[in-house]
Amino acid sequence: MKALKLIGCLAAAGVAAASVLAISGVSAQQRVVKVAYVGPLTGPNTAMGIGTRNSMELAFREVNAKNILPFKVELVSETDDSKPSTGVAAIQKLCNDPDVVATSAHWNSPVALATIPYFKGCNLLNLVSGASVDALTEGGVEEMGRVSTPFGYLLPHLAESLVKRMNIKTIAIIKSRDAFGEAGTKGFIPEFEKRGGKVIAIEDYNVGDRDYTAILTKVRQLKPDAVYLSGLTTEAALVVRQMRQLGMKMPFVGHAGWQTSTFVEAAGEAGQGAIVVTSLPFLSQLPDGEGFAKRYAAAGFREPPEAYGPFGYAAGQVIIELLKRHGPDRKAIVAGLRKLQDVETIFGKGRFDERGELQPKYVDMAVLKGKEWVQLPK
Amino acid sequence: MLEIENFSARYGQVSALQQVALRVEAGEAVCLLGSNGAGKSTLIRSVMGIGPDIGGQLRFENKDLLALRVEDRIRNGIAVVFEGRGILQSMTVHENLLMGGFCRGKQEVEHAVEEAMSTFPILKSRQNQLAGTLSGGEQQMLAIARALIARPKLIMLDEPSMGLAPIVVETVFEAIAEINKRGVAILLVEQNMHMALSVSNRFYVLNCGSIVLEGKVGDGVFVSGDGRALSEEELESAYMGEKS
Amino acid sequence: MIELVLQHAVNALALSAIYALVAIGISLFFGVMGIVNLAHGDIATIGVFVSLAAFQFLLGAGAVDITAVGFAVALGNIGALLLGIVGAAAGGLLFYRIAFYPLRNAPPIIGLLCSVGVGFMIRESILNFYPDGRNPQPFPAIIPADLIEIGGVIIQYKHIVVVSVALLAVLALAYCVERTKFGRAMRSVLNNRDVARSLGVSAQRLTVIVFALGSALAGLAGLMNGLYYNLVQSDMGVLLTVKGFTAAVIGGLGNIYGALLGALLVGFIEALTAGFLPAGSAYKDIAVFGVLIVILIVRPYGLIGRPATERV
Ligand SMILES: Nc1ncnc2c1ncn2[C@@H]1O[C@H](COP(=O)(O)OP(=O)(O)OP(=O)(O)O)[C@@H](O)[C@H]1O
Ligand SMILES: [Mg+2]
Repeated sequence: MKALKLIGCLAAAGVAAASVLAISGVSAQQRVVKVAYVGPLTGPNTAMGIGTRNSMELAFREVNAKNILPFKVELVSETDDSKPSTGVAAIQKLCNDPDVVATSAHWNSPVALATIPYFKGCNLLNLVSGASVDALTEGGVEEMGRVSTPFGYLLPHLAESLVKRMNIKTIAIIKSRDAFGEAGTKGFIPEFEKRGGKVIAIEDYNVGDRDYTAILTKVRQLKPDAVYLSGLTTEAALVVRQMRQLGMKMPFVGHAGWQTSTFVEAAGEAGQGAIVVTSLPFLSQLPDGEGFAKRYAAAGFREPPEAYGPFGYAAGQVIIELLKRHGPDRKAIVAGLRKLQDVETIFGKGRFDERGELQPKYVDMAVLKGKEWVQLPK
Repeated sequence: MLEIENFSARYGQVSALQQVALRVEAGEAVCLLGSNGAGKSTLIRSVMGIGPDIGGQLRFENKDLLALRVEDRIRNGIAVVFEGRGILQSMTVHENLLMGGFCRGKQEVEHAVEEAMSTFPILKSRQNQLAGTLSGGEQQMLAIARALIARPKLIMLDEPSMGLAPIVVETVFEAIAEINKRGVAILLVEQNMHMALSVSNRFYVLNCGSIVLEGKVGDGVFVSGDGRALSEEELESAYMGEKS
Repeated sequence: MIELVLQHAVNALALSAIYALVAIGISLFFGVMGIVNLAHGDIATIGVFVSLAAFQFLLGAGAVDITAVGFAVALGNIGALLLGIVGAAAGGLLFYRIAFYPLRNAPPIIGLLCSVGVGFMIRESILNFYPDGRNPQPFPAIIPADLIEIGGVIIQYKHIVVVSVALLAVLALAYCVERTKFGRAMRSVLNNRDVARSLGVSAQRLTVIVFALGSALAGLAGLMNGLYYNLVQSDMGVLLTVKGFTAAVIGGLGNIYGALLGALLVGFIEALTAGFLPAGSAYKDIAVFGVLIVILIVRPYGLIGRPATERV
């Protein structure tokens, strides 16, 4: 016990000494403040991570060039490898670096869920720019905020668009028999029925199933106006292929769960015309979208910004605004987030609600044309 | 013809045969007696090449058997009839016979199968029936007929009387005697001492993995290796492993 | 109603055909070698990806339109498919040599565990080393998407191709098993290993041949699966193993006709549960395993199987 206390004292003294050194050793003028991006910079989702990080970096380069802050903002980045364990290690490391004052972390929801207690533990802001489970900002943790669009905003928009824009009255739902498929159904049905739509079939499948002809044969008899798939890419591709093979020509709709480039490849010809509700911004629809695209291209990054780039850029913009108002102080930054009621981002004028979510949320409908997901014509 | 010397066999740590010496001359009928677990089947399986770990000398017509694969041992003239009617139950009688000639050419086999079926007419009439549906005696006849297809010089039979009615046993032994008469050497493993000795020229008694007695059979008299006449009781007690 | 039943039957038949090709191999491996090969479906995946690579090469090299009609194209397509079958057989043999052969005298459970490891190796290798192996990949749709409609029942060309290829393969195999010396040797080993050996059948050589043959059939199953669904992925074999294994056990391990019967049962139970129970597709696996359990209780050795002790 005694030994433990001693170690604790020594550690505290060490940290104190280090921060004194850090502050006194550097003159105020050259002072550098670190902001961190943590995401999949390795592993299967690397492209997404790098695009987001570059976009955030662009925001900091721009503010540094303008010299409007009394210090320079430096982006540091860590990979979470899309794995909770790696993510936790990365956040622990950042927590222990006193120069790091704010973070935008994680593209994968399981990773983001795993690190919440660590952000809370060291009063570090995590302004999420990717992960999309609603729960991230529902736990009342002050350190959590988000600029990207969580799942919960998509389904009402999907129901609205189906009924009002596409005139779809009856729908058959095919969903994966897990929490994800369930979430996409539970959130959708009341919204759809509220608007006068009718769900005429709900069919479950197990992830990994390859044959859907039995379900589809059944659904075909019912002649729904559309088939809604709540699941992930592989199954969506198989279902739409088998639908078209059975001569079922009704719209195939869904959500961001399978709005991927892999779906484009995997579904092939059958995927053409598939419609999803999306939270991935179409740059042409953003107030500063075109400008962002130009500046990103000019900045000389080797990789494209990818779908989440605008969110990374917006996270950078919000953090700069917080630094401007509260200085490089973790606690003040966390406390300041929900007070931001007039922040300018790539999405236009925005404000943060009590959950820590940037409002209004970006949400849109996309349709697969050729190899691209394009905006569904209004 | 078959010479076994200083032969031992073990299943992992368990020794099944120790320093066994046994000979079978061409055309001879030799029987190997011994109670349950004495190692009789182990010996036969070892000669065939599908036994456990072995050591010692095993020669057939002056060839080292240990260097030969099973199929080469068959080609050299050794065949076996396993205990408990080692037939292929879910194959037909005809297919069983064909399998007897697995190591021989197609035409020879067809000829030999025809011949076997004329020797054992019952097999001919049942040739397309599954072997497992034959009666016990018929199955034993099939196993013996199948062993003959390979044209062996030595047939080893492991307890051919096992589980058969006495009248059937007699038929089986008649067949064995007949085969021996045609010049095929026989190594007969039996617990049915009297039947076995009735068709044999010589005998060995195996007890707990070792040969404890050997001798000749002549006109109902048993003579041990050293020329001493043996009483039936003496033989029986050696066989049963009782030290009297 | 009747056409709905018929439609489900058509679908079930195609499923059964694919399962049968896998089940036969699993059943034979168990009968001949006494090991349950839980990597069998993954060996099918090897075949699929070898074939896919060949197709991608054809597409890349000459910019061939593999869906076009023509002699050269047909030749290329058949070549790519054959390459897949050969690939599966070679893959099967390789894993037999490096994984199963060294364990031939070990208790069966070790062989089973080893096969689980082999399955992992295959899946992870494709995942990591095949270009874009993490994502599902489209498999060339070389069977025209046309369909025949008879009284509301849709029969796709795919159905016809898959079922007839499987049927041909099974008939050819049945001929081999019933009428040839190799077939007799194999059945004798299935029947009584010791007796077979005493008659000069080399169990070792037979094992190698059976492994190659079973793997080739698995490869064929994988290719049919690819052609049927037009989408393949590194872990597609897991499902094939599960379904094939279930079919083999239902029919009775060690019996190819049992495997066939089991496959038909599995395919039809799946299609009918998914097709006629409300929200049935989620319960089709439960239904299949329920039937499996009932059959094992009533007939522990499968529908047309025999006790394993007879084989020893
Ligand atoms: N596969 C085996 N593994 C281990 N031990 C074995 C095996 N086969 C036989 N044994 C043992 O070897 C010894 C000899 O067995 P073997 O079968 O040769 O006897 P046997 O004389 O043929 O007996 P029986 O008259 O009952 O047929 C016995 O102790 C037996 O338990
Ligand atoms: Mg014995």
